[in-house]
Amino acid sequence: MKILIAEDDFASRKFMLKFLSKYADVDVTVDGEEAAAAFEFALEDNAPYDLVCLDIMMPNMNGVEALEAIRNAEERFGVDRSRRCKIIMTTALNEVNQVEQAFELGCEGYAVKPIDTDKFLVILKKMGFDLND
Amino acid sequence: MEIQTVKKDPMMEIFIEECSDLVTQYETYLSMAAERNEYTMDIVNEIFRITHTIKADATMMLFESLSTPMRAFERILYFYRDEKAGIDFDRFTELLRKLVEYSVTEIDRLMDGTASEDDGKELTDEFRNYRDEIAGDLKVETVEDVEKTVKAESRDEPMRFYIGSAELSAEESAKPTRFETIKSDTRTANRIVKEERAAVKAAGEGGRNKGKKKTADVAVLDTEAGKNIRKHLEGREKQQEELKELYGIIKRLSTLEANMSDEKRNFPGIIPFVSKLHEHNLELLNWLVGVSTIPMGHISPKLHKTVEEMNQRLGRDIKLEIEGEQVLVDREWIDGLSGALVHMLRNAVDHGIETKELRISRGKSPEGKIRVSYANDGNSLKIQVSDDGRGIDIEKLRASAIERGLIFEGDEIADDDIIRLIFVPGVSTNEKEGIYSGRGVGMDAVLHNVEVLGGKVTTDTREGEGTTFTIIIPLNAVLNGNGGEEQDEDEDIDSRR
Repeated sequence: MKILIAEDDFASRKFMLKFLSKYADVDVTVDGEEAAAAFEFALEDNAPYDLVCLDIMMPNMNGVEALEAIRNAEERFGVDRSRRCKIIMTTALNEVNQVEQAFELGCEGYAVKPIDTDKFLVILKKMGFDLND
Repeated sequence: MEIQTVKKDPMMEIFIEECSDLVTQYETYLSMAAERNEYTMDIVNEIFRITHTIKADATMMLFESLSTPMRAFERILYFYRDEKAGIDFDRFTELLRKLVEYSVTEIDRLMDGTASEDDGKELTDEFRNYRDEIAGDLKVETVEDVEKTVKAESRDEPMRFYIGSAELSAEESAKPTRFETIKSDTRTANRIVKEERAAVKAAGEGGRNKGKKKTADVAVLDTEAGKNIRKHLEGREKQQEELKELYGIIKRLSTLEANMSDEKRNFPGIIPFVSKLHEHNLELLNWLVGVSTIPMGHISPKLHKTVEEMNQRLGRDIKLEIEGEQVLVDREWIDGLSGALVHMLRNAVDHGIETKELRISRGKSPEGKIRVSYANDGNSLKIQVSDDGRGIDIEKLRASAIERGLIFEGDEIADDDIIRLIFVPGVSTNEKEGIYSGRGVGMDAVLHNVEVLGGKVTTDTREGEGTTFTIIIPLNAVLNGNGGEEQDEDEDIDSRR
């Protein structure tokens, strides 16, 4: 299982890396632009990410833009809808409009920081990930 | 006094609000079915929609204690919605009532952060068994057909999960804050009043309706949960008292500030302290305003969503305009008002506004428009909901009222009084014309919600031009505290000076 994290805050990035490394190979990026690029490279290499965690407030390209870019890339590469990667927004923003917008743009999960790790694992399981260490 | 900033999860708030609203809608359809002694396809479709929505929302919020029984119930509904099996009126009513009762309890528990631990297993099992029973009576191919539909539809549903912040999801935050408690109490208060009215009405109408039972919309509150809520209610007045008291203190502080201000010339040294006092007092006042009021705009997303959903479902293109979103109202009122407005919008979209074709043939703009406006003139809150639709057909309403035995043929009743009949439950719900045709659905609920707040609703309708409902609620809220007690206390200070 391959996970991509986009997070500009050092502490949050470390935390997510440590938390998720128990279950998967994790790559980290520091903004949306880098994340979108990394995602596309992986698609080209035929080793796509299974899960992408996107912070929303990031420099260069924010998380919502990155979400769109990733979904667009999948479309360009002809990835079937049922095989798309899962995307979870990880953010401090919890305004209803923000959440709804993200879902409309095609993320599967929305987790407000500080992340509730127990529930995070619950939704990973619901998304069909096998979480054996 | 220690003042805590109240942190709430907006998604949780909206979830609770929507769910409570949907459960109330269940009750409406239960009573409609009871009135007709059958579940018409329209009613089944509505019940399906409600169930499906609660299931999806609860799944998103990871509230399995709600989503699991809803999912099991939906499986039964598929058979009915697709007309694969007939409905056993009594048994289905019993199941639905159990579901309503369970949901009411569960929503309150979710607000308390104490979701049932077994995820509603008992009820879920009952639904599953009933579903199996239905399936057992049908041909294997028919059941397979239904299962295929279930699978296909669930595949098309987008996957959505929401996790609130860990900070908020800990015990403290899951518990209702003081004002959420007030909110839920208002909701329950509305329901209690509704129940009681229904009970009184059922008792009073017993004779006229030839003893036909109107049981479906009563009794939810006679449950354990209902009793608990009554207990809660008694706490509510006290909370209001606390706010009033706080307001009294602020008033006294500001008198003190004025008095000190008068002394500035004699004691220039106090000037910085007076201005600090002013600043803090203002903070306190802002805090009080902030916690006890809320702008009407808070419910705008919900109103837009209601119209959009109806537009989609009915293939309409009706525009909703909202004016005066900045108008502040007592937080206590927002639930009742929101419920009333949703009902009014649903009615306006479904019945008030003509179809595109009809509008064009009448020389109107094709899309139709609903305008909601809020205003506060210092004495009362005024809410208007206007549509540019067909207006209320008074003669049809009169005929329907005669048919229902509310008035008699030949009675001379003014048009204005006839119009008021739309607020009587069930008037002019003519089966031939479908659920909403009579404009009656939910209007009684609107009136209840408004009356609970001490307000009234008036109707102004012009055939062919549209209808305007005006809600007026006198303001006697905390912040307008015209109450005498603070006045007296001010005088106390004056006399002590």
